[in-house]
Amino acid sequence: MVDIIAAVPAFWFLAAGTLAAILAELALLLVARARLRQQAQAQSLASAGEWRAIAALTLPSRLAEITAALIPFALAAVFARTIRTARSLLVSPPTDKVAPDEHARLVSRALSNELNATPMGLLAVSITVGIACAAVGMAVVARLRAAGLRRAGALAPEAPDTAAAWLKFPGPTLGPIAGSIAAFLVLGCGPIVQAGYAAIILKIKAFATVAVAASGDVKGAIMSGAMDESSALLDRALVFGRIGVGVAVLIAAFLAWHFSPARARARLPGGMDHGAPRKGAAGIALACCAIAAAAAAFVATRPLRLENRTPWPPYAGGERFLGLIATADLDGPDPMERAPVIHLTPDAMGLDGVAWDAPSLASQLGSLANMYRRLRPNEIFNGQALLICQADTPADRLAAALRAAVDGEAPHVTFGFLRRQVTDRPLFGHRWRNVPSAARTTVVKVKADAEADAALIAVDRFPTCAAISKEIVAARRAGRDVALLLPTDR
Amino acid sequence: MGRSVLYVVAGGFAAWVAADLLFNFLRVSDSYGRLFLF
Repeated sequence: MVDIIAAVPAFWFLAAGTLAAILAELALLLVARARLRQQAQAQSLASAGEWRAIAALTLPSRLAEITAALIPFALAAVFARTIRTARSLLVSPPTDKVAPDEHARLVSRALSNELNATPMGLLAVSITVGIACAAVGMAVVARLRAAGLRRAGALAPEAPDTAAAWLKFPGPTLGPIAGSIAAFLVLGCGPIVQAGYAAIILKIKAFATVAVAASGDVKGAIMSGAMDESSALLDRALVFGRIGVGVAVLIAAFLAWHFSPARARARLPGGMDHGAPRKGAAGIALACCAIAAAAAAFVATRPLRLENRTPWPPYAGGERFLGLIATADLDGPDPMERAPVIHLTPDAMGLDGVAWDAPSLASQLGSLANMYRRLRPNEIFNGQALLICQADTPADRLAAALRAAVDGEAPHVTFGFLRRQVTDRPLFGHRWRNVPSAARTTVVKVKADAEADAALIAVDRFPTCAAISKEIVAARRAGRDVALLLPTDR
Repeated sequence: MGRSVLYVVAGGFAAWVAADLLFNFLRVSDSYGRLFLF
């Protein structure tokens, strides 16, 4: 419990809001129930010929039912705002002002906030809606029956049969009214609420698995799978919800017809009240307001709807390399592994984002190798470097960079390839990522240094980085090791 | 009877929109997650 309190932002505020909403609904429910009891007593007295109690009945206003109907929306809005705040933190980009580990903690907390606030919101709003359903129903019934009983009282002196009909059936009973509201909510929203819980549980379980998963790729694949399942659950629930609304309309129409007090009165002798005053327009105005509010909500949901309808590119594992260099358009057979990154274009060369010329590059790589040995004296230095080379880089520049790698004790140069993938999100705008792949090589200065069964590729036989990359990928795909032979040092 | 029809239609439409709103609000959570993985 303490964990949940910590994980839900403004937990006590939300809990207090929920409690206040539930208490307000219960108060409205109790007031309506007291009115219905008072009406039942007056009805009973009038049946025995004592009409004074009916004359004393007050006509409740619509305020009670409107308030009872609006409270769950207000509570839902508070939870929605909390969840939206957590979501906006989730996608806040890292900045120079926040350290990377602090940013990671922030994102992790936002994720936990969203995962915990959502089920709490669903539970709190569901409970409030359940009570509201009864409170609205009772308030409507109390208002309509009070009007009906007063009509009976007014008719009693001159039209006793019609008055008796009104007295027996003054208005709707709670069952059909609350039943209709419940049918809309349970059949329309129920499947989505249920799927919402299931989706959250699924994601929480996925996070628990991720916590003990071995590699980043496995973690990502587990989370991506959980999100696929969660989306599918909700998509299915929407279909059930839409069918449910249709069924609820039929149920409500049947209940309205079958339990119509006007129909019941009409069946009694003298029950047709031709002189009944016309009902005011308030009911029609309220129904029109509900339709207008629903239409506005539907329009306001458009960005979310568009976002949900826009498919995401499939999950791609591997390192997230955010470089802008246009490498050869190739799909290497090897994974891109972490290593010092050499970037190379026709105009620039460098290491780990810092520009160096070839001799300095060799010196920097050498320093890294020495540092590694000093920090891990019992481990063997793997001599790896990752080369991100722009496709049109001339071979002589490539040769210079590769030579620097060999001189810097990093002869195992992996050629990295970045395939740009973009998605235009209705909610998040233009997003891109590099889908990485690689091809491993070993750079040698003389043929004799190459492994006997390796494919020997002479760097100076190719005009550009793209051309040599193509040859490397073909050899690696054929299952051969690749030895890159540098041109003779002049 | 005309009023009852209006109330049923209004209730049906409101329930349909409420279900749609709830669905989209919950479903977009996956988009935030995917954005994180993208």
